Amino acid sequence: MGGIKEVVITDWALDSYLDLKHKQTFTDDEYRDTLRPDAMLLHHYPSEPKFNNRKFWGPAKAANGAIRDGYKMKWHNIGNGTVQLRLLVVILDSVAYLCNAYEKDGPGTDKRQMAKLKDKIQKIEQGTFVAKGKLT
Amino acid sequence: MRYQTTPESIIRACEIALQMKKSGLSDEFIAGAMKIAVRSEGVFDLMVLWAEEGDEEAVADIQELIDEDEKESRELGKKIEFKDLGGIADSIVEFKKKLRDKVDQSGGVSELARKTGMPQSSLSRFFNSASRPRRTTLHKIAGAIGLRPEEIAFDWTR
Repeated sequence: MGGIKEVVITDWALDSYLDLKHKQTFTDDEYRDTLRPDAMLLHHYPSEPKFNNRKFWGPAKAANGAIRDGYKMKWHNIGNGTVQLRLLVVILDSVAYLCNAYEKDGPGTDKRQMAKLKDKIQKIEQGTFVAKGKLT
Repeated sequence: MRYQTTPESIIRACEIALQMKKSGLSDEFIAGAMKIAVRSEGVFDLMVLWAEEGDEEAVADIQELIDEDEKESRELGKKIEFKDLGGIADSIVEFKKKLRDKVDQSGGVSELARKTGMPQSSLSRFFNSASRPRRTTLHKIAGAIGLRPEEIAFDWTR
């Protein structure tokens, strides 16, 4: 598999960021020192060793199996130390698309996010989504 | 195209639609959900989560996807700088708080749900999040409580 050509910030990622920031799900320091640098690693996907760490990166999975081209970036003990933060990423044709970020506060949240991810993959494939910029 | 709904799933979605009708969800919502569920396995999955696990948040997610489907334009919109995001989130929350006050003066969220056909869980999520409001959602709310267009004019609409 070749490298990633670009990392696209979608409308979904922007709105997730606005909401999580307002709710103080993560601190500014965590964003600057951990979250953003980790997202930047996507430019070096899949060769960057951190992508082999299953606690940090793994396939998105629904009840009926893995969601092809869908992945989760995972952070543990964020914010007040108890937040399990997830960033959904779609990788298609060597482009990484940052989708929803959310607090995993129960199995129900994950299931709903996986369902929505399928819809997002459809929209990305069709080009019917809004890109807000590129992560550089 | 991936994640297309199968014929079997469409039949199951029809059954769930009838359950939704019995539970009191509006015809507008159910029709909107079905319109997307026939082509999107993701929306079908959300319908199943609502029906089989009683997850009311799934209804708010479906409404989100209905609104996304109704989006009037897909242009990039106003340019947003990263450094401004904190201030934008604050202004969104302030805008929604003022709108919520007007809703409360007009009978509250449950009355708004009845008038707009939007599920109450979806409206609660709308008012409690700092996500940018959709134009379509604002128009529905304004229509329901009799607000003028200038009263819902907002820079950070999407």
